Amino acid sequence: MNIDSDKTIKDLIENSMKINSKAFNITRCILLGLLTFYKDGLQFRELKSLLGNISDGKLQSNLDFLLEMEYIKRIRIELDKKYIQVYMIGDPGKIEIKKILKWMEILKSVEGGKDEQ
Amino acid sequence: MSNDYGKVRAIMKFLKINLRNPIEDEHFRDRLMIQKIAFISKFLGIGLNYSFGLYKKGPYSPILTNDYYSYHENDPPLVYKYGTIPTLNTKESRILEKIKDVIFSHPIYTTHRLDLLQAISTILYFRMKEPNSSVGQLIYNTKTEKPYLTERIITIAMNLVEILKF
Repeated sequence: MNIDSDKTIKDLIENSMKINSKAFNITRCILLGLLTFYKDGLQFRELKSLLGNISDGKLQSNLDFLLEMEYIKRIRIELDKKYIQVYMIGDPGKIEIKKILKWMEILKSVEGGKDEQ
Repeated sequence: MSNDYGKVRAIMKFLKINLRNPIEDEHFRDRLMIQKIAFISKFLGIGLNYSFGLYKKGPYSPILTNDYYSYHENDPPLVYKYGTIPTLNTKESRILEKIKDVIFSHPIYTTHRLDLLQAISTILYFRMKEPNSSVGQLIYNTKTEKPYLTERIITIAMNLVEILKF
């Protein structure tokens, strides 16, 4: 392993520590990804529809976690004279996504290093 | 940012849609209106370069979203209105008059505006993708894609889509 490889491995370990491990599960990553893409905001019913066969309880508990961490926001709005709640990405969520992407880039470079050997 | 957002604002002004600053978190309704009206206008023949996807959310263009977030980012909400907008040509004005006559004048539009626009735009999207689909197939696809829309809204939307045909 050359010096660059050493740095890659060091980065892989060190950057993983910057990620909130509780946010780094598949459902929460998908939710952060969806709310980043649909920055207009998504309703619970749309999130449920997008995630397929997730239960209401599981979706709600994951949303509650992300809300608690302020990664996402819940906005109460009036639509056609009914009140609904819309979930939107928050600034800490945008930062967390960037950390995850940065770490994944490092992971990708590890995979690239393996191919070269 | 694409120049097409100016045309979208011109469309909203022509239709007399009272638009608030769409990038305020609470102004979800305004963002939804922009997306659905832009898609319906494009489908009916107004030249807009935005590409729309459908998946679960109804016709939605992330580029259009980026455009209104960029355009309104530094716009003081108190003076916000439509800004400098391009002039619409006769054909475009005729299309928008038709939208007003067919959609906006329907009684259900006053009580279920957003559900109706979502249903119409979803039906039009399926028609765009599969022009030979039957009415039954379009209704089935729309129900499947948007299970939370009522049968009544989807049926009314389908009837209005038939009238909208030029």
